[in-house]
Amino acid sequence: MQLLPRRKLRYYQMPSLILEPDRLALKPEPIPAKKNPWYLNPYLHVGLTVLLSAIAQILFKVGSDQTPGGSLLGFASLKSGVIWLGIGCMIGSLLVWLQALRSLPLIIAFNLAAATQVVVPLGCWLFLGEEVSVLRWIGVFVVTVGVIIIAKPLAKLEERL
Amino acid sequence: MTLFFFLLLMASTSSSVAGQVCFKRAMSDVMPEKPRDRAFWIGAGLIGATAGFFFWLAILPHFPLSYIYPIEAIDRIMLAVAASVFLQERLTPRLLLGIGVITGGTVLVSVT
Repeated sequence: MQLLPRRKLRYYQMPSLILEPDRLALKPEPIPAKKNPWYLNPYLHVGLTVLLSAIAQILFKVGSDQTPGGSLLGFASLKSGVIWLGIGCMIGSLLVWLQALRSLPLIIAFNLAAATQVVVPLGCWLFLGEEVSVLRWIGVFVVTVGVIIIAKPLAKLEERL
Repeated sequence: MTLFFFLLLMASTSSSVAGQVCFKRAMSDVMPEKPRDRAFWIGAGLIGATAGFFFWLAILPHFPLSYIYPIEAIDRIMLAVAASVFLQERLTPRLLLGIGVITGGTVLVSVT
């Protein structure tokens, strides 16, 4: 990028290798990257968030099916132990999410967490025996592709560091 | 959809997005943070997220979920804008592409 008009350099303005031998000799030592222990990996945290909130959703569904409906905002469900287990998972997922935000930009973390939309239908299909239509599987697949698009350059960046 | 429900929807998305921005602000390591400041921002984030959740509960019974769920896409877009404005996060083309694809997938899941 040329911001200033090009000017002829005088001899004493020339970069000199003789006067500045450091330029060749002194290459900075590569600083060894500080390796974090595995449990501080933010991707692990995002994965745990996704898993815990998906488990919470499925537990909420199981719990609210067990209790009679009809009450305002479903407060009757609070008698169910399964619901409280779900609430525990929700709180756990919030705590892990805060850890993930420590080192990941919000946009990236939030869009990686979209994987919840893949895990919840999978869990419903596996554990609750719910039918999932073909078009819905396609949607799940598209979301997966989107998450991979965002996750991939990050993985490369990590490798280089 | 009446103006009232539209406003309710906007209140729901904007308060949950504000909650997320507060959470990120609380956990940001960029500047040394006093524990009290961190607690303040986490509290603000909790209030935002809870308010968003209750606004959402108020809307839910009035519409079929499949009609209302793609609105989550607006959440995603608003969050991207808010993070770039308030947190100075960089929006790369690849990130925008990913957000677009995820949004499309969300709409597909809820349409069926």
